[in-house]
Amino acid sequence: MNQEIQQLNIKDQILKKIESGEIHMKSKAYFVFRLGLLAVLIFFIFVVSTFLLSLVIFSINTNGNLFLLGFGAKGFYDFLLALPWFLLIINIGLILFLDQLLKSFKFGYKSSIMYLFIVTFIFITILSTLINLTSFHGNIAQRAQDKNLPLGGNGFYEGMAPRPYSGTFKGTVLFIEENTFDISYTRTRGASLELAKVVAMPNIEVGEFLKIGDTVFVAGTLYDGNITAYGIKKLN
Amino acid sequence: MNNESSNLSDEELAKLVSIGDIDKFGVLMERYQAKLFRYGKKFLVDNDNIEDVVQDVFIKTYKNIKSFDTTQRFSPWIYRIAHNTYINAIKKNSLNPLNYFDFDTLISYTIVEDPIIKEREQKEIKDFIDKGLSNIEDKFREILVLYYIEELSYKEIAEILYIPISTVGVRIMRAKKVLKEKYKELKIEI
Repeated sequence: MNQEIQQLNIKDQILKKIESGEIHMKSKAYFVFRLGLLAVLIFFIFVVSTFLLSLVIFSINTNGNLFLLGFGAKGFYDFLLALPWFLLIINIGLILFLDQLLKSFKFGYKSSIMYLFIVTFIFITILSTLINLTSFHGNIAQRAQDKNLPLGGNGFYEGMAPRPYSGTFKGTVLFIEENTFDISYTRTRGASLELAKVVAMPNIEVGEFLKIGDTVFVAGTLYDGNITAYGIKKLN
Repeated sequence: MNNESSNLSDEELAKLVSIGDIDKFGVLMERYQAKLFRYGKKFLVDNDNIEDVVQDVFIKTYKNIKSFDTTQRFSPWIYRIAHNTYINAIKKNSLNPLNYFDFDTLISYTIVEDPIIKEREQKEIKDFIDKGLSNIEDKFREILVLYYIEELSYKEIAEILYIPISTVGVRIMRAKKVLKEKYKELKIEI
């Protein structure tokens, strides 16, 4: 009985508040605006995440670090070390945030977090790979190098672009002798040329598979102008 | 409640309220206040201001009624508002941070709702719940109330809690286990 009276009171109190104008209904436009804002935020995070991942893929392609996977266990280990983990962690964070926003929608919360993460990650990876089939990042990198990006973009792009891994070198063969050859290489796009002598395994005749002018990717340790290589890949 | 209103569905009433028929909101409140009181009382075991919290649910329902999609069911929508309001009330009254994250939402499970098992367990679990649920985690307490007291389906609970349907099944399973262990530990006889 008491509960019934209590409940009637609640109903009457609320109806009174509505009639007196104390409580207002939010307009449809408010909800449309909120939904639009959410959609814009989702789109923005999606674009940033795709941009960052495509930049990571671009840097792996440009630096040639993918070739490390063909150099055995040491190559695999160095490939992992060479990955731009900072960018990747930021990207994973962005994708998790994106998934959290997608959970506001029915299709989002109906899926497990892992499933949603995998689907969005695969989708963004495919899109990033497709972007790398175009000259998008190449053009931006060139413009950044020429200091030609608007709104402080030069510093931003160069700051964000992953640096080449210290144990890999991409350059041109200048001179060959037995198991050694000289290369000229640059550390970053537009940097000055550096020279080094690459020392391959003792019983390898480098001249049998390389010639002067070839572009090569070398993995090894640089010390005192000599690179002791554990992997060499001819690129042209 | 007049005869005309009693023939209308919740969704039709909500539509009328959204175009300004305030009296129809009274009808909706009559339909849901007992349910929301019961849900709130069982879920917010330590809260003395349950009337205020339920009132808050109805106020939020009214304010947001224009965001309700009348092609969907009204019941999960208002329960969702109640869930959020109750969670806020728990947060407000609790000194400890509310742990509502569930690792079961990370991966998918294949669990199907079995009405025969539900019917068989209904009385036993209801008795357990009536003895008080204050000793178990909020997320377990809530799901037992929604499933066994409010008698909602996995699908409806998933829509209220914004979790996958399979997670509803797993959480109910874990909640029952936790509840039974707790009662065994406290040596409470049903």
